[in-house]
Amino acid sequence: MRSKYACRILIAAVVAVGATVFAAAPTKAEAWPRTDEKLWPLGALEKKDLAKPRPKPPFDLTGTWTVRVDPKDGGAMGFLPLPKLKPAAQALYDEGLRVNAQGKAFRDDTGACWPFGMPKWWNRVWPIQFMQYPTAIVAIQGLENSVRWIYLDGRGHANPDLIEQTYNGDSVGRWEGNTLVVDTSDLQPKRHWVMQGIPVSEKFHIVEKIRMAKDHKSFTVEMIMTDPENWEGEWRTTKTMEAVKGEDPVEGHCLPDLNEHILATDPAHNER
Amino acid sequence: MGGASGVAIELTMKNLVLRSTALAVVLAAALIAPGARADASRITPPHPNWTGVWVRIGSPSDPDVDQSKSPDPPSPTDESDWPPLTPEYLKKYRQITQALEKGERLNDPTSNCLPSGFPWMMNMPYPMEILQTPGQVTVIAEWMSQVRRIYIGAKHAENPDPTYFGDAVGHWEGDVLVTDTIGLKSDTNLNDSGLMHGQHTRVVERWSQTKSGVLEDQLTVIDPDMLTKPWVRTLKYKLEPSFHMMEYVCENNKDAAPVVAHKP
Repeated sequence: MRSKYACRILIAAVVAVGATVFAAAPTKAEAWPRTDEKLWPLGALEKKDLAKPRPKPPFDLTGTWTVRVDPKDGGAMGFLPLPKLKPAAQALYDEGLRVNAQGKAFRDDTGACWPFGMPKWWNRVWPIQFMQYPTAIVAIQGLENSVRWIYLDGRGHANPDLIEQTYNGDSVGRWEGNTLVVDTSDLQPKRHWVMQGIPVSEKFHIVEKIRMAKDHKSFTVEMIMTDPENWEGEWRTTKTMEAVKGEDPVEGHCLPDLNEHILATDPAHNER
Repeated sequence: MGGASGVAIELTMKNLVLRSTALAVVLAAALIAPGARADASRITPPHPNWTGVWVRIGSPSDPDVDQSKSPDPPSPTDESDWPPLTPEYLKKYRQITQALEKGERLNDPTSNCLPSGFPWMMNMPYPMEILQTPGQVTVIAEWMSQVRRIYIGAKHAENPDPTYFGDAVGHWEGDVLVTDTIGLKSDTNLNDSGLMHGQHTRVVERWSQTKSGVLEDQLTVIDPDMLTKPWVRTLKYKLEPSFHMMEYVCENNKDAAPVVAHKP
């Protein structure tokens, strides 16, 4: 008798806990709200914010990672497969290929030391060092020390009246099961390209779904990019990042004065 | 469409990688030494944790300072606060500061969007973020998105290539973080008035926090080419928990003709 009641109590407890857990985890990527700056007085690294109890995350990105250069996904220069480009964007892209065939760079602002921004931030060949806290991930791309802050403390995107557009965007994230879902908006469109010949507009938006491999030696970043001015629907592409062991990050800077003989910095060979 | 474009991209990208869009990198990509120095297994005993966003006291970002009432900075030619320079560097610095006072601008690589580097970056006008992780202290200066890493309990790399932020190692002496930085590029300045330094500059810091919470960075610059004796400066920071670090991009000068940063 005692064992039967104990068993029922145990089952009820398991069901109650399970219901709580599954109720807390969003089942789909809902639109991220905007946060009134006044409602969010704490910085993500403020001790009070860090000290709040939170579930243990499914994985920790802390460490150094480098992109796996795979031509199938566009490698270090692109993001494949391409979406269906809008006519103007398609024309620009085709123009870039035509110019390349002549041995020239085409509007290569990255090569001329303008910020590469998102999503190129992922596929520069310099390693990225991540530091993960319960409330935020701070990630530093080795090239130009390009920093991303991904806020995990439940805030929405910043007030658009207060925020500046940036090349890496405003990123907020949350855990959905074993996936880290990151939403990035408010990206700066000036001289900002997804890849050669494909610019971004003010409507550019990125969702990243990060999943860690079981051996924790790599993780994938599935990117879902939308920009209704430049392509139709979603541009889906996935990059794989591999753990870097035995190396410290090195400095990488784009120094125009040292870029002699590089097409992107020679106006005669970087067609506009 | 996707397949043909993919092939075209691959062929074109190979050409581009070989011929054109490689960036000029300051350093060789060689590994520094086997084994990353930021070894997570080197978890040190409990020490102060300064993780957070800090603002230099008295800087333009200090919310407690009314910048409109700040006193004018001293004249660049006022030698009362100058470091103990060797005759060679004294002559050069006088030339630079006299030109500054006339309104000329000499020797400021940051005008061309080049990093200010260390230690000048610590005299920052904008906030900095300190991130303490096992074996490493990372300092991110919002100003020009500059990053330095201090490897705790590690040794200097052998013959490090000169970099903007140097090769920095550190250790704890009680609650004081002592750091040692070598391998600094010699074509950077030590401050915003064009103070140059030599090729063998070394900077030792002692970081400590006062009872009132102020974080002090006592920097000792050692440079036998430039200085007759070590030069000590102390910078002070306060925690600003509500500050958010912002992206900083130096872009306005990129299309301009380069500022002539000639050396006198």
